[in-house]
Amino acid sequence: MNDSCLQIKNLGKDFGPKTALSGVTISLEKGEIMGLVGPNGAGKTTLIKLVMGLLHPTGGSIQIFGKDRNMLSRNDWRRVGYIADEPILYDFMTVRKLIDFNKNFYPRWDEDRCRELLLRFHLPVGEAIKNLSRGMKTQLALILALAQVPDLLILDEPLDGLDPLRRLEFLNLILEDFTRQEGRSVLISSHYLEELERIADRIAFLHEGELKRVVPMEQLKVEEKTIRVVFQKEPPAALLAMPGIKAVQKEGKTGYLITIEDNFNAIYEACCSYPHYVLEIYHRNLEDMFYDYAGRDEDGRS
Amino acid sequence: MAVRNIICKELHQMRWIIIIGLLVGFGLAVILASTFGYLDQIVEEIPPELFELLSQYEVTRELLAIFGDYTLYVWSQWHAKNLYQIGALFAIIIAATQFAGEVSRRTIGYYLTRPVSRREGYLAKVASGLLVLLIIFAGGTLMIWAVSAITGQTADWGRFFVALIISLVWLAAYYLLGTIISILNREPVTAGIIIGLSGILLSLPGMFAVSRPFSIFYQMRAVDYFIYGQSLFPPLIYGLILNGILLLIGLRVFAKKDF
Repeated sequence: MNDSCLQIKNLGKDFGPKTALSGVTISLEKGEIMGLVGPNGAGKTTLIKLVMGLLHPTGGSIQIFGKDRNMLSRNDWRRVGYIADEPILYDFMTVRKLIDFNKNFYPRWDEDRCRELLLRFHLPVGEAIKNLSRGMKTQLALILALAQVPDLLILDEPLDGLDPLRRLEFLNLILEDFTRQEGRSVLISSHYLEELERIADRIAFLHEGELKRVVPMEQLKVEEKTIRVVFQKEPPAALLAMPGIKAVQKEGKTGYLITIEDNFNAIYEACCSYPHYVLEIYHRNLEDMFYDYAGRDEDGRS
Repeated sequence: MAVRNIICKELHQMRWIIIIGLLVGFGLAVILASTFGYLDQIVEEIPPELFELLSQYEVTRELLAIFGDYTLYVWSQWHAKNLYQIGALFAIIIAATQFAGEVSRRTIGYYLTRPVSRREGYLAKVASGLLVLLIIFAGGTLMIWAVSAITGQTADWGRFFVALIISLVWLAAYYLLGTIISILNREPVTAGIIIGLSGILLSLPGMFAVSRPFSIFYQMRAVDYFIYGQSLFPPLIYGLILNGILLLIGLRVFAKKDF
């Protein structure tokens, strides 16, 4: 039995001669939150637009709820919530009018939840959309997406343009809603790595249209570390080539910075057992991993 | 339900076009129907010798015929003039704003991610656009009829309204062509200009007697039916076939387009 909510296989997209996405394979499990990170132009928005059907793939396949995305029924699409990278809504409508327009598409629409969230965010229902700030529009887009009670929620850079307080509020709401509805899956792309680290179960790294790695947050917390060690004499080559070592950087004569992505305990014990002067452990976070793939020349925002 | 929801949204979005269109249509209808009395009087007051002289020339002969017959007069001013000119203008505005406008306002992502297929998304917009054209021109035509009744003018209304059906079918074809151009453009102004230019191209066959039937705008006037007394079915059937072809092309282009 396939428990994938979203299954992307070998997905590619070319825009003329330019390849925006190539051979991406990701699976989002039921009840999972996956973060999508990568620098500007990595292909995050392209990937999401392909999933949502705004773009047509050049190759590969997308399955949602176990069905080919082109074969999804209206009822299947009703189970998918989406917030675009810019909260562009119909400016000529009022908040109330837009909610009414939206809810007519979704039979599972939760009006109580919608009302509760409107009150929580202090959104004026009689106000024209054009008069709302960007933050308010993002909040409204989130309310619309959550009130439709989706099983799969796809968020493309939803935190952009939100102040820290609103970002926190936004993520808390996603988590709160996530725990309310069993089996809901979330795919969220963001530049805010710290926030993603807090909510995501797994992180997918995209760079230059290719999927570099998908890493569970648990592994990142437990396994992804850097050991700084100064050995008393040159260590055996086998130690520095142990499985799970991602990179080795030499510092001075017998000093090493060993970046580990897996098998931490074994590598640590091997380092400890060899005579050394100094041995320190640095915990790596998502930002370190981001720089590993995107390069230090990036400004940290993708 | 979903399609009806979109049609309501489209009509709400185009409310100003509808209001302006109805005002223009009503205004023209009132002017048209109420001025006939004066023109008719002028023709009646023409001295017989001058009337005979004017009757020798085709242009003036036609004018005298038009001003002497209310049925001919309302057709010449409505179907053969205002409806196809202003109709084309409204068709351009509606088609350009509906698709390229949705892209340029960047709401297309929101629109296409509602649980409706591309096919339904296109058809709902087209249905709304056609409905707006119908509201404006059926409204204007009814106003002509109403003002005529008030001013005591009688015409062959049966023929007049049948001719309106032919006009609207061909106007719909021009609008559908406009939607295809609009889908392929990201800016409504550019789309509008291209639709307008394509209209000029399409009007060229109408300048020559031999190619006249191939002009959308010639057909929009329903001349063959109204003036030459020919059957209404050929222009109606050809118009509907053209509409069907353009609709299928529009559906395909919209379904294949990356947004």
